Amino acid sequence: MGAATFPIFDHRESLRGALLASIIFHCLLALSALVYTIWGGRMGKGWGQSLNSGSAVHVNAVASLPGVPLPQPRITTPNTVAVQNPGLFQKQPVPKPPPDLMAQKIPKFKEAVKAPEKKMLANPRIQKEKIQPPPNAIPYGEGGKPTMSYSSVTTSAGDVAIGIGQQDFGERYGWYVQAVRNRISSNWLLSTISPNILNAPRVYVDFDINRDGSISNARITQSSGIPEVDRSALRAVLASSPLAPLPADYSGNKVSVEFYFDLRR
Amino acid sequence: MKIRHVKYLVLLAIPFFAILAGTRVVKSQTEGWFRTGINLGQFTVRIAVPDFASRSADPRAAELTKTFNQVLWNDLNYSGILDVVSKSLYPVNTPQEPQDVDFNGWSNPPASAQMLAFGYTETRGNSFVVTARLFDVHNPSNPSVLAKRYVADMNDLSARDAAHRFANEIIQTLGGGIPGINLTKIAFVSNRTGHAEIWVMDYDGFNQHQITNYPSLNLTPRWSPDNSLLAFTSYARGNPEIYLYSLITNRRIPFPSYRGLNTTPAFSPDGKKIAFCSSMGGNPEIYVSDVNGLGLQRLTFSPGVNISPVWNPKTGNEIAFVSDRSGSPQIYIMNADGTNLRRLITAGGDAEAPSWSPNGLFIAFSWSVKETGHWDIYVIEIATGRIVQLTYNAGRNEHPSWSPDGRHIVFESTRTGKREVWTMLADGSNPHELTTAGENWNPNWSN
Repeated sequence: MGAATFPIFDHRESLRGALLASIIFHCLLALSALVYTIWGGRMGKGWGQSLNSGSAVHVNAVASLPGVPLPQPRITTPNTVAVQNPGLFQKQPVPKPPPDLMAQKIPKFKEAVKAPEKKMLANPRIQKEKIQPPPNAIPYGEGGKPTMSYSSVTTSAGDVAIGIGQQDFGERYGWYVQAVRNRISSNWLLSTISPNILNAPRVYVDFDINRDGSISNARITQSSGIPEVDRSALRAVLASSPLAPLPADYSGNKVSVEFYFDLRR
Repeated sequence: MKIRHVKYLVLLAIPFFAILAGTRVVKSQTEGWFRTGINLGQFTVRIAVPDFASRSADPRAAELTKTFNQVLWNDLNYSGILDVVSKSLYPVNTPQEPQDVDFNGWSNPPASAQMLAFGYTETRGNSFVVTARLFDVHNPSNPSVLAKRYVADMNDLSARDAAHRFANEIIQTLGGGIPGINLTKIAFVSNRTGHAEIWVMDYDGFNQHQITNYPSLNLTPRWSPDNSLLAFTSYARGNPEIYLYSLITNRRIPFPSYRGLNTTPAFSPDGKKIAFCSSMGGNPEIYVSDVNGLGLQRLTFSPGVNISPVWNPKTGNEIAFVSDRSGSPQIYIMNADGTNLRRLITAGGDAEAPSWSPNGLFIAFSWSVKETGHWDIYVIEIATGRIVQLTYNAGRNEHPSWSPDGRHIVFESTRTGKREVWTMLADGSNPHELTTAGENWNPNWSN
C-alpha cells in the first residue's frame, strides 16, 4: 500500500506482434529474393551483366564525355634532376628522450641463464696428483729432427728430403741417397702444379727401392691437402723408376725410403 | 628487442671480419717471403779423376792408357751431371790401390772432391786390363762405390770401349739410374765421298764409318729402338724410297716402294711400326705401316705438305710432324691414329724437324723466327708451352736429335762455315764439333 508502484515498469509490452511481423517480413524478403533469382533471370539480364550483346562490360570512360575539359598530360623530361632541397614536407626530428638514469642494466645472457653445472666424471683425487713426465720425454717443439736421418736439399720448387728406413744405410751409402734425392727432385715438375699455389704443407711419400733399382709400393703417407701437389710428388717418384741398382755390397733385398716434398716458391 | 638484433648482427659479422683479416694475414706472409737456396735446379757431384797409371813396360800399353785416361775424362766431363775437378788441384800422390787413398787430401780444399775415380792398367798376355775404382772420399770408413776390372784388346777402339763402360757405370751410379750414353752412336749423312751417304760414329765423334754405298742421295737416317736397324730415304733407284738396313747382317731389309716421294721414316717406340711421309696419294701425307710393309694406313688429310713424323718415345701414343697447312711449316701433334690434331707452336715463323725427348716432356726443333730469320735450335715444354732457345748467333742450326739419356742434343750447324754435326748439353751449353770432313748433316742419336 505504501509503496508506490510505477505501472510502466510492471507492464510488459508484448513483443509477439512485432516479432511476428518481422518474421513475416523477412520471410517475404527471402521469398522475393528466391523468386527473383529463379524467375528474374528469365525476364532479363542479371546484375552487372551488359545490356549489349557480348560478354565484355562496356564502360564509358570519362575522357570520352563531351564537354568536360580534362587537363593535358604533363610533358615530363625522362631524366629527373637531382634536387638539393629535401622537399617541402619533412618531419621534425623527434627529440631524444632524456636518458633515464634509473633504468636497469640488462643482465648479460650468461648471467641470466646459468649453465647447468658439469658433473665431474673423473676421480678428483687422481687429478690432484701432478703428473711427472717420463725422463726421456721431449717437450713439444723441442725435439729437433726425427731420429730418421733426413738428407734435404733446396730446389727451385722448395725443399725435398729423403730418409732411409734402415738406420745405417744413409751413413754407409751416402752417395746412393744423394743420387736418389737428386734424381727424384729433378723429376719434380712444377708445371704440373697451378702457379697460384705458392706453398703447401709437406707431402710425405713412402716407397721401396728394390735390388735392381726399381721403385715399388709408392704411396702418400701424409697428404698436403692439395691433390695436385700430392700427385706431382707421387709422379716425381714414379717417373724416377728405375733408379740405380742398390749398392753391390748391401745385403738387403730392398730399402724403404721416406721422401718429403716442401713446396715453396 | 633492438639490442638483441644488434647482438645477432655483431655475431654474424664476426666471421666475415675474421675471413677478411685471415686473407690479409696470408697475403702479407707471401709478400714478405723470399726464396733462397743452393744448387737451384741443377745438381752436380764433384768428382776427381786422376790419371790411371800404366804398370806395364809395354809402350803400346802406355799409349792405350793415355787414350783410356783421355776418354774417361771427356766422358765424365761431358755427362752433364758431374763436375770434374781440374787436375791442377789434385794432391801430389796419385793412388792406385785402395790403401793409397788420402781421404783428407781429396775431400778437403783445394780438390774438395766428393768422389774419386782411380785405378791402374796392366797387360796380361795379349790383353789390356784396367782395374778401376770409384770411392766416396767423404766416407772413409766405407768408401767403395764401384770396383771394376775391364779386359780389352790391345787396340785403340777396345781401350776406348773400356773407358766408355767405366764412365757409363759412374754416370748411372751417381746420376740416379739413368744409363750413360757413352756407348751410343750417331747416324748422319755425309758427302765426303762425293755422294750423300749414311755414316755412323760414336757419340764423341770417333770411329766414323760408312754404312751405305749407293752412288746417289741417301738422307734422313733413323735408328730403330733396338739399334739393329737404320731406316733412311734413298734415291738409289731414282725415286725417293724408304730403305731399311740391318746393322747386324749389313744387308738391306725389304720395305715396299711406293710411287712419288717417300721420305722421313720414324720407328715407333715398340719397333713394330714405321711412320713416314709419302705422296703416293698425290699429296705428301703421313702414313703408318708395319715394319714389314703391311697394314698401310694414312693419318693426315690436308692440302699441303705433311712430313717429318716423330713418335712420342715415352708412350708411343702420339706423333709430332711438320705441316705447312697454315701457310708456313709448323709443328703439329696428333694421336697415333690421326685424331686429336693440334698445333704445337702458335707463334709464327718456320718450325721444322721435331725431335721428341726420351721422357716425353719436351720437343726439340729448329725454328726460324719471323723477326730474325735465323735458324736456331729450340726446346718446347709440351705441357706448358714454354720455349727455350738453345743456340744463338751461331750460323744455321737445324735437325736436333735427343740422346737417350735426355741430357744431350746432336744437331747440324754451319757456324764454322760448313754444315757439320755438333752436340751440346740439352741446356744449350758445351757445344762440341764432331765432324770435319766434307759436309755432314741430319744426325740421329741411337737409342
